[in-house]
Amino acid sequence: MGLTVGIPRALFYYQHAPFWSTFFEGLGLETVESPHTNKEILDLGSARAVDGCCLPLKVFLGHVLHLADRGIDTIFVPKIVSIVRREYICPYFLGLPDFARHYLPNHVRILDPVVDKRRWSWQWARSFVRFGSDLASFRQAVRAFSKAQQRQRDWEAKQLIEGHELPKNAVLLLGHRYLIEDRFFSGSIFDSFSKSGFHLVMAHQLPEPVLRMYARRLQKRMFWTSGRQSLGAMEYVADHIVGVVTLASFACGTDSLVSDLIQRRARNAGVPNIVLHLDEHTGAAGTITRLEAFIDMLQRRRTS
Amino acid sequence: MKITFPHMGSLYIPVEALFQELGFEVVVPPPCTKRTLELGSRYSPEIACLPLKVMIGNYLEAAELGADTIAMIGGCGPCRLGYYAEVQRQILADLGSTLDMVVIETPLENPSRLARDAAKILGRGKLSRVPRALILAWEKLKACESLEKTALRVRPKEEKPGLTTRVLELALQKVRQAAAVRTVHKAVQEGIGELWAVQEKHGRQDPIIIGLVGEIYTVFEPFVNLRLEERLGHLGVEVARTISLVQWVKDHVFKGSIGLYRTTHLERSAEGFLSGFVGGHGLETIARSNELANCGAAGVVQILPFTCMPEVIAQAILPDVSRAKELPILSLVVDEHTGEAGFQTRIEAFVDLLSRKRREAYRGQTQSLFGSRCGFGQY
Amino acid sequence: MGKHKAYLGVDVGSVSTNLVLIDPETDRVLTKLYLRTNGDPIGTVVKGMQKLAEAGEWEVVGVGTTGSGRQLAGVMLGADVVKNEITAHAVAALKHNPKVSTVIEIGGQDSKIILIRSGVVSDFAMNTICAAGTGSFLDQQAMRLGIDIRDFGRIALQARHPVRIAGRCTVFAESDMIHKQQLGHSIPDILAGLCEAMVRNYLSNVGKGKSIEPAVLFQGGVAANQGIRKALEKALGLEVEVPINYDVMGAFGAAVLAKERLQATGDKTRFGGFAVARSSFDSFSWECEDCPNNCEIVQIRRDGRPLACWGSRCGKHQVSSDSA
Repeated sequence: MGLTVGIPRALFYYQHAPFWSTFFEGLGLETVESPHTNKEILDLGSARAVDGCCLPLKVFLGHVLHLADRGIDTIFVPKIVSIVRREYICPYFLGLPDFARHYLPNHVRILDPVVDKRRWSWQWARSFVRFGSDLASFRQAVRAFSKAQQRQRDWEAKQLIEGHELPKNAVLLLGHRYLIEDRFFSGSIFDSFSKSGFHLVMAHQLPEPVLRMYARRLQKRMFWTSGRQSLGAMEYVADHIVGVVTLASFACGTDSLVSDLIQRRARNAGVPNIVLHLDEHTGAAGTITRLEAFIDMLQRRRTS
Repeated sequence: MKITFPHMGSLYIPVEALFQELGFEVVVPPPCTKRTLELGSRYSPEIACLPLKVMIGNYLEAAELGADTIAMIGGCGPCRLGYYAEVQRQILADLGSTLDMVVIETPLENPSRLARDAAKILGRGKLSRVPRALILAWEKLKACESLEKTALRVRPKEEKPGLTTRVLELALQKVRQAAAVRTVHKAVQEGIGELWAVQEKHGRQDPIIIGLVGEIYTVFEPFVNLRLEERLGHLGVEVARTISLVQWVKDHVFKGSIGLYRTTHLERSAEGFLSGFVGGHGLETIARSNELANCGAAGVVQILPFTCMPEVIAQAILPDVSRAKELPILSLVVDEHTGEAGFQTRIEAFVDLLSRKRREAYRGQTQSLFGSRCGFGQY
Repeated sequence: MGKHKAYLGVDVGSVSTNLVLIDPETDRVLTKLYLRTNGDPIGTVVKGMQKLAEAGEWEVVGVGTTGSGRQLAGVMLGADVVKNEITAHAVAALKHNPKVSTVIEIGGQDSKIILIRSGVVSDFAMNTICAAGTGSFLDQQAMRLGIDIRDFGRIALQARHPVRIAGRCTVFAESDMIHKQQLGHSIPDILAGLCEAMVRNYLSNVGKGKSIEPAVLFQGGVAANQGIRKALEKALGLEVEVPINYDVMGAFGAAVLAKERLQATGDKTRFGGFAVARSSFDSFSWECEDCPNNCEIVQIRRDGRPLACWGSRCGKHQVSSDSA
């Protein structure tokens, strides 16, 4: 068919990439992924994006523009309204295809299937099969979907901590997955911890049903998936960890409340915690200094 | 039990009536001032959005006046407002405040909890009073809105600057004091009459019409929007507010609570720019701007708190609407650091832009939105 | 007679206060003053008027004020027009070059972009939060390097390989610059790099999403800096013109607006005469406690008598100051 689909390596790429690539493969389409986030991509995005928007959105825009600059004229930007029943991601995700379209030249086509599991968790199956049938045949789309889903499940299962047993000296790292897994932002955190003798544990390494169960302890139901997972994880492991690191993006609406709730919860549980705010000006230096001081403190606590 | 609640423009009038009729003592927080914001910012997470901080300030100031229970709305939209109440509860709890918080959620979200909260509130009140209280509050809500909308039309033509605001405030106080539906109606009628009398009899050309869109709290709370409507009015602008609290209550309380609210009409208006609901009033902002262009408004002002997610999406897309409809649009972002001087300059320059443009293009031909087919400015 | 007729324009900004007198016939600038405001707008305006009175015999036939202190200056002088600085700058630019499409204005504390299409302002933006795109940033850096700000542009033009200074924020730009200096880059290269960084900041903050078309006018205090002008031309790929009166364009625009207004209405000026220069002004502010709004009221007094008052929501205390 000759159609090449550009996939921006940003936002939900970090949690749905296996599904996406398998799906397009099943449709017989070629895919191109944008490179890992770098300074150039960040600058590209933040120079164009509207002032008030959050860092991940600027990064996302950078990836999209990068793909467009490379001459790719079909870009995959799904409209991810919700991935769990009765929950949302955040308002930005609801308008993501429209947001991207605004910044792209007219000839670039955006593929924007809707993922909305708020009411009906199989909605997305219908949505993707429909979307796939437009690009290939109905049979291909069904087959691609089931294969992609299988791959995605296997991949997710592999993320879990082996034996469901928390390592000793575990430090919980919370935040949006697209921040934590984008090494351009989180690389220094992993580096700092790798030498320290502490083990970083993230929410996606813990079983989702357990997180959901523990999140029920909240007085008010958390309706942002990422926030619910973070707070659920916090409830789940609060008594078994030595510290909490929260990665929050400047101007992120959900983080502004969730990181505050995590901090309060940690304080009440007596767990040392630190919130690292990221924006495009933050030099790695500032973050690393604060992080190292935090790790030093954890080590002193352990020895004393 | 002394009930208080956050401020949002003149909303305190109907809400006060509601609780009073239910038999509670009500403490209306003092109007928002710099002190409110200072108090609020001191105890809120720094990166939270402006409305959260101002509301915390409201609670603390009300507590100083003896309030012990806060009534606040919840919600489970993608917007942050839905989680405000919980964060605010924790902030107050960590402060060691004894303020109790009652969160009013939509019935569909958690029916048993709503029943429990309702029982908590009504336990002390009388069930039989509920219908009367609801009716009085509803009438007062409508009354305040029609007075304010009249003021928006009169202000650009007022004889002395500030007169409209003063007359409006007096009329609102009359509505506030009215204890029966009939007195409310009388207060509105008189108030509207007095407001029209403010208008200069002759001279003064037809005002420029600017549509006001944006996030609901910033649109309605004059302290937060730096009295945007008054500023525009004094520059000879008739503001067409596109958000109506009466409509909001109809949509979200009456229809929404039983799952009947649909955004189809907005989606149709926003077609080609935004494909659907993005939380808060983002979709409204796009849809209404597009409609305003079709109704002959000279320009649109969008107002939003810094980092307000739904409105930022709208802000990014508004230039497309502006280009397609040749409609000048000004986005104003407010936070606790917003300076008055720059704010005023921007508004003045925008109004200059519009009036110069009008002089070029229409040569004096204008139309009032009164009776326009889209219904803005009607009451 | 001997007295020269002129329109007076006054631009009271947070960093500088400018006064110009223009010829009623030719709109030529007869004399101009560029003063530091130093946080005292009232005193600076009085001083400016003294200096103008010393410079010649004038018959002021109209007054316009602009800038963040426009209301204050308007009351003190009896202005016929009180206009915001965006409109004033646009009008001045149009007077200078009727074909202008883009006005880039970089001043001491703020910067703006104004787009003009077919002689009318079509869009504008002001910098909101960041100081990195304004003159005071350059001032600071020049001082740190021990260079007179007036030589800044000349030295920057000697650069052969401008260094790339990173950071979109003043603080980071500064630390990066120190770093580059320690690496041994030459001063002209660093200055030129600074100019380019500032232009990048300006274009991505203020000029974001705006279509910049020729003719481009560059005005405001920073326009004196040839290095910035060159960096702008390089970044835009367009020719950038700096008008002769680049530093007082706001005041010039205000004078032109006063002339337009008075000629349209046929009114006489409300100018209070040069006696202003001999009066003493003071301002007085308090919080009105008559209602819970607690408005902050500012009163301007001339020789002890209240001249004007503003700040109340309800219109109370307002002494006539119906300048629009």
